[in-house]
Amino acid sequence: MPLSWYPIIVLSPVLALATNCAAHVAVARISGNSGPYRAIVRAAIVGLGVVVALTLIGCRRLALPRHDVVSLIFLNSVAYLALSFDYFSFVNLCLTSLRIRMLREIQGAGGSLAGERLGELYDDRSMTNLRIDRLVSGGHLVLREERLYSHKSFFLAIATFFDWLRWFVMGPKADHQGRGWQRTESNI
Amino acid sequence: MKVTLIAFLLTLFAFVTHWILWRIHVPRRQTLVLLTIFSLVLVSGLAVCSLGSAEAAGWGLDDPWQYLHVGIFHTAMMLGYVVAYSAIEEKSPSMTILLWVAKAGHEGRSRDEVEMLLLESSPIENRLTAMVRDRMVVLREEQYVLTAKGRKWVSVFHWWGRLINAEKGG
Repeated sequence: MPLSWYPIIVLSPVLALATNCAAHVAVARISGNSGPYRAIVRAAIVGLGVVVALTLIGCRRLALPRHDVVSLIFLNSVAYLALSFDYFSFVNLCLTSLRIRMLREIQGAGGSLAGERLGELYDDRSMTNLRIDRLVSGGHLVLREERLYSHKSFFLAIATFFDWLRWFVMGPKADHQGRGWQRTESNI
Repeated sequence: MKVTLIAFLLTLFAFVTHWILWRIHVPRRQTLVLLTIFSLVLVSGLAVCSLGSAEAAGWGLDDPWQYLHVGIFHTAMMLGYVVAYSAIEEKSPSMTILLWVAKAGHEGRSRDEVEMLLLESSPIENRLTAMVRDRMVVLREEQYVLTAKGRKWVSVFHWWGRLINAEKGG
C-alpha cells in the first residue's frame, strides 16, 4: 500500500476528534447556555463528516479497492465514535457531575471545607429533587397528578442498555458488585 | 481489510478476556485491571503480527502506520469502554430513577417513593467516600482537604467548563 495518504487515513479519527472539540467550543460559545447537548451532537456530526471525508479522500488517492474503502471507513468511524463518546462523557461531567461541583466548592473555600458545611450545601433531599426535576423538565419522566410516569426517551433506552450490559458483564453478581446506587426492587 | 480485521479481533479478544475474568472474580480495582487487559492484548497482538510466521499466514502488518492504525482503534475502543464501564460499576442516580419508574409501568411512582429510593443510599456521603477513595480529597480533622490530584481535576474541568460556557455541575 503506498504510504503518502495512509498516515492521514490512520490519523483521521484523532483529527476528527480535534475538529469535534473545536466545533463544540465554537457552537457552545455562539449559542450560549441554550441546549448544551444539542451543541455536542452538532459538533459530533461535524467530526463524523471529517473522518469519513478524510478516509474517503485518502482511499481514492491511494486507489484502494472498494472493500478496503468500506472497511477503512467503518474502522475509522467506529474509532471516532468511541473517542467522541469519551469527549461527551467529559463534557457531561463538566455539566452535571456532583463530585466535580463539590471539589470546586472545596477549592472555592480555600482548599478545605468542613464535612458539616458540605452537608448543608448539598443535602441529599435537594440533590435528589434536582435530579427528579431535571428528568421531568428534560421530558424523560412525566409528572401527572403527583405521580411520576416513564416516558419513552433516548435516555431510558441508554439506561436499559447499561442495565443489560451490567448484567451481561457481571452476571449473577450484578446486584452485589460495584459501588453506589445499587438498589433493586427487593431491597427498597 | 486486514488492518480492520486485526483491529476488531484484538478488541474482541480483550473484551472476551475481561468478560471471562469478571465471571470468575470481579477485581477490586476494576478500571485499572481493564486498562491492563486491553493494553496487554494490544502489545501482544501487535508483537504476534510482527512475527515471520504471522506474515507467512497472511496476518502480518506491512509498515509502522498499520501498527499505529490498529493501536489508535484499540486505544479508542479501550477508552470508550472504560468510560462506559464506569456506568456499569457505579449506577448513576438519574438512570436508577428512570429504570425504577419505568418498571412501575402505568401505576407510576410517587415523588416520595423516588426520593426514598435515592435517599437510602446517601448520595452525598457516597460521593464524599468516593472522592476520598480516589484521593481527590483527604479527610483531616473533619475537614475535606483538596489534594494536588483533586486540584488538577478541578482546574481541567473548570477551564473547559468556562470554554464551553457551562455552569457548575451537580
